[in-house]
Amino acid sequence: MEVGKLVAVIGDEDTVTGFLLAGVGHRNAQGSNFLIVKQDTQLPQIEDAFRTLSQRDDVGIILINQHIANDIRHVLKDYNATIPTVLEIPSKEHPYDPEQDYIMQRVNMFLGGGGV
Amino acid sequence: MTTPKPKEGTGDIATFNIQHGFAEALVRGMRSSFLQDQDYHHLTQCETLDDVRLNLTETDYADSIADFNSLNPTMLQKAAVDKLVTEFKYLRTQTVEPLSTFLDFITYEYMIENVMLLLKGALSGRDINELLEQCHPLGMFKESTMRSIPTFENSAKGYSDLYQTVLVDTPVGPYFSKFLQESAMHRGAHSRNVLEEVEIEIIKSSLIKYWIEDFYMFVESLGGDTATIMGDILKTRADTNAVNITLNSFGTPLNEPAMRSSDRKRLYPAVGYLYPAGTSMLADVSDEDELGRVLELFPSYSAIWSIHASGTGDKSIDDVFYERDVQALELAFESQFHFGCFYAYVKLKEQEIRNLVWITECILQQQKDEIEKFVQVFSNTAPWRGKTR
Amino acid sequence: MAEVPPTRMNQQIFKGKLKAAQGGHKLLKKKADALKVKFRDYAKNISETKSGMATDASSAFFSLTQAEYAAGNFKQKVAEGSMNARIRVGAGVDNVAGVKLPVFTKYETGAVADNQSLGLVGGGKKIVAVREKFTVLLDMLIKLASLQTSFVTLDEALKVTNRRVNALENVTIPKIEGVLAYIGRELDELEREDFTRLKLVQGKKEQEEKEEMKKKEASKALKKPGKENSADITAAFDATDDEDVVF
Repeated sequence: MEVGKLVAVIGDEDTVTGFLLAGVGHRNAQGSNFLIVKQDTQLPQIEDAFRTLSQRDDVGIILINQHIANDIRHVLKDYNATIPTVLEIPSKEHPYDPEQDYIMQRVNMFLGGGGV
Repeated sequence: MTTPKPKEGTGDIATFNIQHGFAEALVRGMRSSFLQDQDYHHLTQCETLDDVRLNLTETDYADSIADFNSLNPTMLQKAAVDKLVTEFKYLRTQTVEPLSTFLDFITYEYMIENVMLLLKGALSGRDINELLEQCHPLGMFKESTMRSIPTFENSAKGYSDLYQTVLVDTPVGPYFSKFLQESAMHRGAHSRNVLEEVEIEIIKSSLIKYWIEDFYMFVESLGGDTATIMGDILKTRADTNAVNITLNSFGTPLNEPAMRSSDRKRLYPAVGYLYPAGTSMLADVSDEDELGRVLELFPSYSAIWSIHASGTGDKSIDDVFYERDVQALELAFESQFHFGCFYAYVKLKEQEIRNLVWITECILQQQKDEIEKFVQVFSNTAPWRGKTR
Repeated sequence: MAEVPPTRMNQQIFKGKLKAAQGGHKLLKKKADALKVKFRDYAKNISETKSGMATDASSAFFSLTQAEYAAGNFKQKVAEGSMNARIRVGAGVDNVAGVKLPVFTKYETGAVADNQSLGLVGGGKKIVAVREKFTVLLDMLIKLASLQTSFVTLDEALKVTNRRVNALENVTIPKIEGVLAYIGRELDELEREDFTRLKLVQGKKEQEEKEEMKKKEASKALKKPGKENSADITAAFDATDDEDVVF
């Protein structure tokens, strides 16, 4: 077991390619730490990938494209562990929308509402 | 190698049309399918991809995108490539030897890509049907080969069987065996190990090198204008590869002193204007300055290099190469009685597809400042046409 | 409240409890304030980083487009083959007012980069640019991940602390104060009762003394037999006059 945790990516081809080039990719006999979501990728496949990744204890961060996060929002809602951290990131075709990000909602509520 | 001896040459001004007049007429008719200056102008003015779609319905791409409700760069690229492939296949059916072999040669380049993709993908346990979908349609093998590929099991053995029984029989098989032979001579490694250990891009570059050499020999054997014009194009291509390989090897293991002469040098094609004097000098180059000093000796490349070295960032060396290629290909396309126009047609269409993808990506990502940075094909305002915008 | 017997001992105990509760309340309040300050920091930081991320991401994606223009379709090659992560994240711990916050730090394994020769025959430099852009983006995301995890953890901790503060303030302390007041009231009441009783007893005694004196004087004067006398004394004593003393 190596030190440090992996950064997992669930995203469209461009996102995954970019991060793989940056060097986060890890693939061995147990599988890989990324999922390329294409237009014909089925929803259950994404859900499964997310569940598997979020249960792996060698994963520290899960990066997920926001538009994909929206598709599996129901799974994300049930997910409440701290680690791995789920981070919603923009994709090429879908600019980042803070409104849809749970964390940003909370942040804005806090900053806007002046505290709970 | 695979090259069959042509029964006869391409013919000259008096006899070319007997055999190849019809095919040439066809490809010349496709000249009008290229996007015009005003098409590009309209496209670059678009705000959304829907606008692009509407604008494209005015062009030759109308049929290809007729069924699309929406548009994204990937879809457009696929549709455009499919269109090119359909046209190319139609051309291929209308040709007789030696033009048909010439056209086949064009597809080998894509076949090499596909073989690499299949081998590497199969090695990492990917679903082979999925991989077949990703293959470039221009480089597809015979039906029987395509059908037999998925029947191999996903294991090291199955995959070595795949190589030994199927891929050797493809037109690019000889390039493979040549590569494996040379590697075996160098390191005494077994074929499977070579494929596993050597980086996919390096294998590909080697195969492309053999392909360029083979193709060059073929057009030389055809003689006449074809040899002159295609020879020039292929030599330039070989040079481009040599320069690019050198430039892009900096910062990778390929630039290590030991690798330079053993591995990198083997990737330089044995044809071209840089060969042999230039490539032997390139072999010892270790950084950009040294590369620049070598290229200074060759007037046509020193100009390109100076644009790269000035480092304004406006144009990369790739852009300059593309520009020069487009110029040469346009010339090849517009002259007559040789095969160069077929090659030029495919390559220019490829550039056009690249441009379309670029424009749509720029619009999609709202990078309007960058949208003009592509090389137009058959533009009336191109620098080499001597007109200003 | 009624179950607490209003004794001096209980009063002492509850006084101690009140003091502890107030001390705890003060401390927790301080902790909540400290957390809140930190929380606000994180919130601001996240909102800034997230908006910065959008620009970084789009420039990263655009570099990919540029690379594709120059190098052709290389994307599918990137995802092939087995690979080892070059970049991992180490999980450290930051401590804010006793709340442990996970912090991710980027950590390079030193593994050799995959696909280094990508774009060898063209576009290689552009692909290097993509690597760089995405590495920058990744750095930012790792930072953001730490912030976000801390934010969530703090959020949780803050909620718990606030709940405790509120519970102390609105439930526990008033309850203890109530008990104390009750005990105080009861004790006062007892004291007053004792006082009246003593007064009564004293009054009775004085009266009795007086009567005895009178009787003595009378018997001295009459010299009558003492039989009547003794009956009189018992008649004057009434059991109901005196309450049971309850301690």
